Amino acid sequence: MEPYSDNEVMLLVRNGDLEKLGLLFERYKKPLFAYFYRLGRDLHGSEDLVQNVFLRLLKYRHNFTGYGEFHIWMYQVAHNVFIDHCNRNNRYKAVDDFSGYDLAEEATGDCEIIREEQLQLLEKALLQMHAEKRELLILCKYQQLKYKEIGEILGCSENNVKIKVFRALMELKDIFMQMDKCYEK
Amino acid sequence: MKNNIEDLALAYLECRNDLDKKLEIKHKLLDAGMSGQELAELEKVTAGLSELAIPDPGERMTDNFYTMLSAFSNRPAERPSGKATFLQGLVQTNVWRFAAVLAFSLLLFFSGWGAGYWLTPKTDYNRQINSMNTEIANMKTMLTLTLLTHSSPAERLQGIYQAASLDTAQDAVIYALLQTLHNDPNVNVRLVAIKTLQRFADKPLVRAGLVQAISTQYDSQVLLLLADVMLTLQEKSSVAPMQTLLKTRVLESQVREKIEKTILTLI
Repeated sequence: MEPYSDNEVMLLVRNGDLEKLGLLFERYKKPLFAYFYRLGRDLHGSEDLVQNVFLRLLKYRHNFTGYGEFHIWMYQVAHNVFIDHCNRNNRYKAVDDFSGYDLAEEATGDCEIIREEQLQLLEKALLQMHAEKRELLILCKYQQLKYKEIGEILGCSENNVKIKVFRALMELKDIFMQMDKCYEK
Repeated sequence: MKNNIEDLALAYLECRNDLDKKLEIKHKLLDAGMSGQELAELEKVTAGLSELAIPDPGERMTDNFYTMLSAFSNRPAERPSGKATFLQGLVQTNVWRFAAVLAFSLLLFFSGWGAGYWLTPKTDYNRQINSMNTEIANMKTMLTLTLLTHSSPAERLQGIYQAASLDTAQDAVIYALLQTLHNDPNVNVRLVAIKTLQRFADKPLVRAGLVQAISTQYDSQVLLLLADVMLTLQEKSSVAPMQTLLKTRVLESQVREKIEKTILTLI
């Protein structure tokens, strides 16, 4: 028996079979958690935001028409949840607090240490970017969304998304290389 | 070209298996002005991004979700929107009561309207309207007379417009307009006075005043307008003063021709 598509499940939820939302939760809890975690690097905060997304999907289930892709709609909701969260906490900007980071933690061999250090630097560089640009890279690199889909989520054209992603990558590269130089010194 | 670099760079970063294609794109990027070092750094950063570890969400998240879903499912059915509630309430529960109230209200309204219509004495009503109309006409007459004596030409013009709005002009208004026609120093005021007097030309006094003006007016525009008015009114008594005018005064050729034509038409 073929499993229900996302749209079919969401239409069932819209028509009153609320329990079916569990199916969508199981399918998307990890990607959504990764989305929020990469945006803010806050474990418990990300869990709460995932919960908020599903609460909104329930609350506004009547708005789901079934014509578009479910995951686009879901990421639009997630994007709004994140913006609301940032507005509440005044944090829609670069994260400057790296107090939770220890550059040498969990490293074992020399190569492994260097690799870990590089990844941690990259993570720092990512967190130094403006959240809007960080979100673009996350949608593109972690959620494996197409440029067109990202455009639908963020309300801009495919070409515009490509330009923004390229610029965000260039900025990330510059921040990372600068931090790398400072670290070497 | 700029967009081309962005497209090429993204295509280069996404190209993993086809090495020939990747090399081809790389050459294009280098030709477009991107340095090899920059490209290598970009590739390193992009590759590093996919290696960043993400922890799994805790059980707490799943538990909280199902608790929330259960609480949401057990909530009483949601009330529909305001409009739907009103209409459904109307149709399902209170329809008969609503219909009765509506019918009674309509009956009461039309009874009151009918009673008012039939019981109001019509003669009184008509008399009141006539009285009001007379009062309004008197007020307009007073206003006209006041404005015509004003020193400003604009105010005097306003007075003449007031006179033109009257359905029937009292003799006082006619006299005032004739007075303006004969004595006002402003040509525009005199021209408008002629046009207004033409409205009341059914009165012999007005026709006589307009004919008399032919011999008292010296301005060409006024004379041309008077000739037009005489033609419109077919006032044959104006022929004599116009002939006198031709004999006694030196007129502009245009005025002379117009008066001659008018005389020929009226004779």
